[in-house]
Amino acid sequence: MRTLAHLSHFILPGYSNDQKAKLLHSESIFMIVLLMIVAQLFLQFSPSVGIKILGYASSISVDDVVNLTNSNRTNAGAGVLRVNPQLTAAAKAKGEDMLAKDYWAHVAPDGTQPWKFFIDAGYKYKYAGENLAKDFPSAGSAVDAWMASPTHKENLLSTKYDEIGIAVVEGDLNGVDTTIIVQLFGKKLEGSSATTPETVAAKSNENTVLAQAIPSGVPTIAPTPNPTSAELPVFSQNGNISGGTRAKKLTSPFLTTKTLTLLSTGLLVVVFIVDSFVIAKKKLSRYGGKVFAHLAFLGLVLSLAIITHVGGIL
Amino acid sequence: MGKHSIHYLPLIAILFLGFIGFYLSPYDRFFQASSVVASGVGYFSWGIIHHYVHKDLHLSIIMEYLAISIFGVVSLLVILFRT
Repeated sequence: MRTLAHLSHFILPGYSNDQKAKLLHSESIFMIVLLMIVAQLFLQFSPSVGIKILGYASSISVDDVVNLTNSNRTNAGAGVLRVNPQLTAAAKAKGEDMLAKDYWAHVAPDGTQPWKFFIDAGYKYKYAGENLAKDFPSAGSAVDAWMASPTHKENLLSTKYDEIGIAVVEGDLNGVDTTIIVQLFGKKLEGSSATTPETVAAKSNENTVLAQAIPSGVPTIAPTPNPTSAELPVFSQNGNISGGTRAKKLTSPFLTTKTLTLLSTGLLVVVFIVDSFVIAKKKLSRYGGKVFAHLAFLGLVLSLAIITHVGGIL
Repeated sequence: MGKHSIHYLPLIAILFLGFIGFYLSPYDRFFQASSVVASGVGYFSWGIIHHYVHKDLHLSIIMEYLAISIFGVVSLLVILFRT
């Protein structure tokens, strides 16, 4: 009985709450905001004190990334890319470097450029490009995201490239299990006499895709054999090959946060509706904001929370 | 709402623009965050102006709009931060 009265105090207008559900009082809403921030801080810093409760579930096939990329290129008339083992190795090295140094960027915090991985893998390029994606639930959603971004799409469909290397790397990024897709594009420098490479617009902005022509003077190497038809591996952080797909069922930080937002916003919407219904039924006149305006704004919050999807690209 | 429905048109326009801005930039987190903040500020401003025009603006009403707008903005920003 006492519990019901307490619940009623929070969700129904009455004498105890000045004829307005306690949950709708400004101080209650500020308290919810505070709790949300505390929850985010917990999610953010719990890994640093050894608490690992979060992870990410995905099922990414490297073959699918290659096939979908080539499918988009074919549709655009850009020609199919060949898989190059050196580019694949470079992509794996880049992914593992991001996990080892805890960064999500084209350029490492220590200044390491993406092109270093091309060179280290023995791939002397005339043109090179890099697309990155993380935490997408499928290969299709990642490729769709790249295609939806003009700069990434330009890289993906560029006719300057004729080879591709893909790695799907999973591991701990800033304390959270993460799946990173590294997509490298390249065109080999043919012959040592090619010392004046054509220019490709280089977008060095940290938030955009990277594409670069080789600096002059870089030695050439012999072309590597053409595409491997073997099923491409997925590399884990420790370098183990984990197969073509993975499906690990853990809780995603994104889904946890999204669920908290949907629940708290939905709760406020329901209480606003119930509260205004009771006030109308009691024929009480109350001093306050416009319920329609509040519901419209909270409806926007709900809508945007629903359409927000996981996954980031660089 | 009743005969004052026209007063809600600016609010609807603000929220609609916020939705469109967010929806049309699915992978531009900065633009999405800007749309969210702009919608929150727009909603808060609409509330203040609306009640000022109707001569019933009070501190508790300002706090009510402020609390809800901050709640909405923070709720969405924490999701964007996690993507």
